[in-house]
Amino acid sequence: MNRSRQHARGSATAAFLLALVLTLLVAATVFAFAAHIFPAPAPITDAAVLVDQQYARTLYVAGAVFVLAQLGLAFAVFRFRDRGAPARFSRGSVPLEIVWTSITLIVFVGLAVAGRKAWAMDRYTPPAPDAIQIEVTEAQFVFTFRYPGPDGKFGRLDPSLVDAPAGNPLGLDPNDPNGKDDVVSATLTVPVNRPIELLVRSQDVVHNFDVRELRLQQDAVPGMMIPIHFTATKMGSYAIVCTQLCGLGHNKMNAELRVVSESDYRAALEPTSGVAPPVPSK
Amino acid sequence: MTRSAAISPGSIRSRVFSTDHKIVGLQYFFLALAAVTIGIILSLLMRFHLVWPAAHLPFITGGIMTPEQYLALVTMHGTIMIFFVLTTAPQSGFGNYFLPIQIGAPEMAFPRLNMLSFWFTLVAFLCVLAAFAVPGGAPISGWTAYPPLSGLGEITGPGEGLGQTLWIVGILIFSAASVLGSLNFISTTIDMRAPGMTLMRMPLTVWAWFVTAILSLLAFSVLLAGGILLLLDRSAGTSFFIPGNLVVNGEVQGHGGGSPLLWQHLFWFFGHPEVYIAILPGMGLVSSILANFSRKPVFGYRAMALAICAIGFLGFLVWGHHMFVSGMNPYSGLAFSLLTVSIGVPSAIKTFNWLGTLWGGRIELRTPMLFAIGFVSFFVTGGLSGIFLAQPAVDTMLHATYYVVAHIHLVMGVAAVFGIFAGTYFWFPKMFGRAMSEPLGKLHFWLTFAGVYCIFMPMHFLGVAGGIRRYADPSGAKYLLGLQPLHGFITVAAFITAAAQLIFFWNFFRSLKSGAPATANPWRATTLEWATSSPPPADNFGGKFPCVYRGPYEYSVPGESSDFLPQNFSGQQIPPSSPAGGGIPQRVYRTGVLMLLAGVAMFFMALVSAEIVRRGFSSDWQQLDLPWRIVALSTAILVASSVTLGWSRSRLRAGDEAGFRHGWLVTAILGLFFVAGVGLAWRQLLVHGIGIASNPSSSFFYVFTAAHAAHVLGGVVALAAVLIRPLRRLSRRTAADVVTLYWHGINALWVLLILFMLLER
Repeated sequence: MNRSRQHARGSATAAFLLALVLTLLVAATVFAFAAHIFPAPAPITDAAVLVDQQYARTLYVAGAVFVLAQLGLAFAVFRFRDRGAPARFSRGSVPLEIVWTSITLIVFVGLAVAGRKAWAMDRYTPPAPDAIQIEVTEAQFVFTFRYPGPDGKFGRLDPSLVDAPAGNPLGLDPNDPNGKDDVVSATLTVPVNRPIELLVRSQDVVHNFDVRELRLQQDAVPGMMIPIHFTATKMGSYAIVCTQLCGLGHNKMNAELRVVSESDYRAALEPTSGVAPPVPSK
Repeated sequence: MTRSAAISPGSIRSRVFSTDHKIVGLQYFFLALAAVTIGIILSLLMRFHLVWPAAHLPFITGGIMTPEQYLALVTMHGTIMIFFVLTTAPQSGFGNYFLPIQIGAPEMAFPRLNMLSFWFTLVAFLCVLAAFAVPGGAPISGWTAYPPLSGLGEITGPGEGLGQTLWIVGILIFSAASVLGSLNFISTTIDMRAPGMTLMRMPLTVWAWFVTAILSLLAFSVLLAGGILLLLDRSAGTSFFIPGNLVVNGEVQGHGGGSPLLWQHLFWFFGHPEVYIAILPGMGLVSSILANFSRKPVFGYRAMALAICAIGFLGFLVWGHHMFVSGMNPYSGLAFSLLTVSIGVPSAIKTFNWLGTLWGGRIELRTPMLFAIGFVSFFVTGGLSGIFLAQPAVDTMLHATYYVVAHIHLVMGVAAVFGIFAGTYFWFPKMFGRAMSEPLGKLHFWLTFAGVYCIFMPMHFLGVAGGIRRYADPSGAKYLLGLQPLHGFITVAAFITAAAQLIFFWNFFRSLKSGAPATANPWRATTLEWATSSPPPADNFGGKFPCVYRGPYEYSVPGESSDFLPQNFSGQQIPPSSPAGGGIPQRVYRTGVLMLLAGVAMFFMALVSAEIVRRGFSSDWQQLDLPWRIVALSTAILVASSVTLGWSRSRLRAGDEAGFRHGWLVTAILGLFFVAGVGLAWRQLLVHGIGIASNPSSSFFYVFTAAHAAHVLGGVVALAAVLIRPLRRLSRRTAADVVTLYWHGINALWVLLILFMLLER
């Protein structure tokens, strides 16, 4: 096949440019990830650290494949640009296919298996028996947290009693003695280094409970009560957001997780602190 | 080479309502072009709002975009792009045009059904778009439409009233159209290949369209079931997906016991194969283009074909990876995770083999080749971010963040779209007999390639830092403000990249009008579409149907004088044509009806699964007192109708016309009696006050019987049609065979349904 030299030169420019752009892509990407631009905030639980470690493992593997594949593409496009010589005929290579397929399978499945522990710690193992139970109720577009109080029992909820403007957003039944000492709050306050079990529920549509620093999120599904647990190791104030599209107020639905000392926690739940259990109006 | 008319000149009616698969393909293609324009505009409005939420926009009442308007944009952008662009252009657009030609056939198996599929799709598109125009506006529940947000009507938010209903109805029509379309693809590929076109000589595009059609058939049947149940929850008071004791806006809702997770299972069982429907045709095309412009066969053709099948199959087993944090059993999470990373294996095989195809090649970087190489780059990037999301522990951090948005757009919004671009530049000369401008094409490529990486790479960082998707603005949690610089960069890149698409539109429409005339085979390619004129004649090959002598990618074969050997090249000067070519064989109808039955079976299996899940979810299940006598009688009638049908066919074979007609008529009448029996059963229940919304078991009973009766009625119509007005192409013998198959199939389904209802007592 005869092709003009001008055409061939133009093709060389395009090949060089494509190889260059792919190389720049690789360089920029590796740099951006290595420089930790816009990093996730520091984890505040041991389980979150495991998640970060699995993320890092995955990043190294994916990163290596990314670099090799994109640079491989760049090299092939440049090296094998049309220079007049015929192409090297080949239908493929079964041994090569077996090798790279096996490597891929082992690496990918290995990654998934390596992440088992982080998932198990999150989801298979139950919380410690002395975990503090806190109920998380989500509704359009508000988080409400309820503590069982000194009796350790949650009072009965009645949907027909739900009346947020009147101060009873959960529908607490005033006739249930278990509920008399329940503490209802708009802020999730927990003591540091204590296991916490959150009972996540929803009043209306599917919502979600998500705290970045916990590396933990759970959909709040109406009709279900879903437990998740964590033990925070660092005091501070952290944002709770809803990540499941729940209506027009979705992006404004957030609350605060405060991890405080043991004494501050006890004080926060005392009636004298100002966070009074609401008296449901008739 | 003279240009022959693509379609015989005729009335507007025959052109617009054409059954020519090439016209139908172009109709789908232009529908997708209109859809992508709308979809891009919606996305630009979204990107603008994310950076300037308080800006005054002239066309919005009140001036400032509200959060619900933003969410409506999100919902419609996703819906329009995924259904009407990515499910339409690669498969229904290019597939319709080129599948028959690439296998040496004159037409699709069912040309009129094909035309019908397009018009249904257009109606679906208009129905979905209409949601913008009704009071309340378009829905705000995302393209995923999770109930109860989507299931309770207007009280959950603006757009959730009529807008959501129109959306659901539009998607149901689209699903039906897709199922019908897939029947054509499957039957044509199985039964209408030219002599010598064995499975292992099919171009990888044909493999991809074939597997995609099977996915379409099975997946959209499930979406049909789910969508119908959602409509019933919204309008008939049922509670498939809506739990009890919900308090919305201070009001307790009247539903009870439904499972929001059931919708998610049904939707994602469809939703995951859907994304493979979007990408597989592009993969097949990229293989063909890489081979062509490297002047080498596809590396590992057999492995590539098998990988397409593997991706298609595995695609049905991984839907739970969308539901790791949904409240689903965490042990399922591990199972879905392992299956999901396994899909990475055939995907990796394809990537390695694409590199292998380039390796040692004689690469010519024409525009289609640039886009094909771009596809590979984007598929690698997007696929790799999938590995993070495939692991539940990591997904717990990244779920519903912009990391997911980056992943889905890189594989779908970019790679699959690059497949569409590659196909357009590659096949434009063939379809329209004119060439597109190479310089403009290359400019389009460079700007778009750089642009989309600038748009979507930063989204990974947004996600890791906790940027949540579907957020109208950063006015919620305070940390979101720190991420605005990323949003600003992305928005600027988005506007520039969108502007660059104008180059493509200009090039496309200008070349349509005044591009240089194209030859039959400007790319010196091997597959059969290049063996005919540009554009092809009405019957694709001008009466000279090809025989196939070799595989699809015989480039640079050692010892040959030319660096490519067309598939129909026999070694002789003038390739002999197939003596039997040019018709639609009768066996396609059998294949078609068997595939239809497979889709129907899938639909009912979805309903059965829904019943099993719903039953286990809530304690409000009440055993239904079935009107057993009526049901048993109806069953007996239906079984009898199969007997009379069998007898009638034997009479037809024996040449006894009268006996055949009598038996056939009796069968149809028995079918009508069956439907009447169902009506009586309903009446019996209603008399006792048991309606569709009374309790979940009654809901399912009404749905099962209504759906089945509808299929029986369809069978009765088909029976009548055989007697009254035979179809032009169908011999009466074939028609009778095919309708018989359908009838027996539907009856067997009824027996299975009854068994299921008995067993679950």
